[in-house]
Amino acid sequence: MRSDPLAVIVSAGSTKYGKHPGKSARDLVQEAFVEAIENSKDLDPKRDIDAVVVSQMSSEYELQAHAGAWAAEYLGLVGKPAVRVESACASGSAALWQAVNMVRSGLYKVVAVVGVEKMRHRDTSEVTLYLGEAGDFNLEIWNGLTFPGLFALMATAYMHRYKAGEEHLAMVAVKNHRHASMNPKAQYPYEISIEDVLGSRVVAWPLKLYDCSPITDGASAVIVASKEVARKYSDELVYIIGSGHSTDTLGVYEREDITFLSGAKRAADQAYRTSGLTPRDIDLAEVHDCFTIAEILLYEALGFAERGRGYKLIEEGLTYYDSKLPVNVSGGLKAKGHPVGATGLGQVYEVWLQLTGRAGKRQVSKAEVALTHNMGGSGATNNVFIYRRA
Amino acid sequence: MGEKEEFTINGFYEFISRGELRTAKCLECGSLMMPPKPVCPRCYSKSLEWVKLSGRGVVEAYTIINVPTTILKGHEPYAVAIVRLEEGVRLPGIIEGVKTPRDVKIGDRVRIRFKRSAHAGELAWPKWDRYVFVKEG
Repeated sequence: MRSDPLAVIVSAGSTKYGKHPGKSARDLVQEAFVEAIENSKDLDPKRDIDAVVVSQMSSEYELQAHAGAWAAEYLGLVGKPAVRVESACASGSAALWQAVNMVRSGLYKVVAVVGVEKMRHRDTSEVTLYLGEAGDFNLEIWNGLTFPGLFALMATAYMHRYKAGEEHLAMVAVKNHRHASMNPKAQYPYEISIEDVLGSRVVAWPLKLYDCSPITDGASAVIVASKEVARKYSDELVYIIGSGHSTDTLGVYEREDITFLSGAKRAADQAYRTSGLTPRDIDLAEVHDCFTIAEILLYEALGFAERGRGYKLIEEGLTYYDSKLPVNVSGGLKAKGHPVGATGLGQVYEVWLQLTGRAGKRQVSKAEVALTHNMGGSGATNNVFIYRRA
Repeated sequence: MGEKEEFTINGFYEFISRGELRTAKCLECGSLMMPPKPVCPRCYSKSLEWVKLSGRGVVEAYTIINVPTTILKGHEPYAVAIVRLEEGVRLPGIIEGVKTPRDVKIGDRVRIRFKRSAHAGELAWPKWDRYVFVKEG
């Protein structure tokens, strides 16, 4: 296992994910950032933070682009360099990737990474259109596909080839709700049953309402520092020891195999290689369950199950928080919520809570090594990070 | 006839509006694109030609959309499939007349039909015509 980190997570913060009707994206970012500052030690933002990276998928919801500028203002850091990064639903991890590389370059010592999406105030058909921008407009969205539809296509092909059923998809949702019931910041902190999922209304067959992550408002923040200065700002450090970043084709129809997320596999392989670890070394993983089928496909792409056997892993209950490989102990995108630009950083927030022993009822015992996978579109951008307790 | 179209998505839909399914083939490396692009992404050549496709293929995946975007709001439920065309590339498209998962399956043979009418819902752009697929008996 790699001993010296690529970069260090000094602190993290997050709003509750869910409904924030009175707040805008800027207000939510402030809230998450301030919590991250409060969770650190001796960190004076104006003195110590060298740059800001903001993650937000869409400027359409509030007709507001130029997030670097408004974030610098709201974080009290006007004058510092600040930029928005966008990789659709992988924006959060893409922002972290930028920050890690800025710190590794030696040019920046401390970078504030904040992510947000404010989406609930718009009509469902508008949100559906804007979320569809993560896919291929020209041949997918124009021809009537929606973002859930893209994953539904993968689901029908997967279920047909490997003989999985809708009930396997439902098991993922049930697990993630069980986890979310122990997460006070989750959008849906309550349990549901297989029958609840199978009986919920169809969004894009076979995906039903409870197979889909919700529309969510929320923000998360992470403070990243170089290994040289990190100890100044916290006594509980989380090391980033592995990183992988891979793209795949924008459209599902262009994939080599529409039942396999090759981009996720490439990113994971890079992260395992740079950290010197294997899938068996991972104590807990936060993965991109935008839809239940995605989590099943990711078990295979991330090396936790063989091809075609992902649905067996959930069937055997092996990814519960107290089982062999805890996946999405936060509740995942499904039950914790999916404020798109915040999500990748919300995964890091959960890892930070777990590896610093702050996860309360859902604490994974003896958690030493964690993995996050954040994905954009139907699998076109993938960032995988591996972390360990310092 | 009309082969002076640019090798772009606009060119693709220009042919669709004339009732033809065409895409770009790279004369340098032979790769067939879907959709056409001005430069071959495999070998970076600009030596391309338009080829006509048969429009026939097989359903590789499908879904039934119940919650559409603003583009096709009011048309739900409708089926969209990924079709593997005879020439090897895949193309997404609505399957006409299919409203439930019982009416379609992976492996169904389909062929393209040119609608020459664009439902764009509330969008002001684009003005592309839309093709659909119909099941072959």
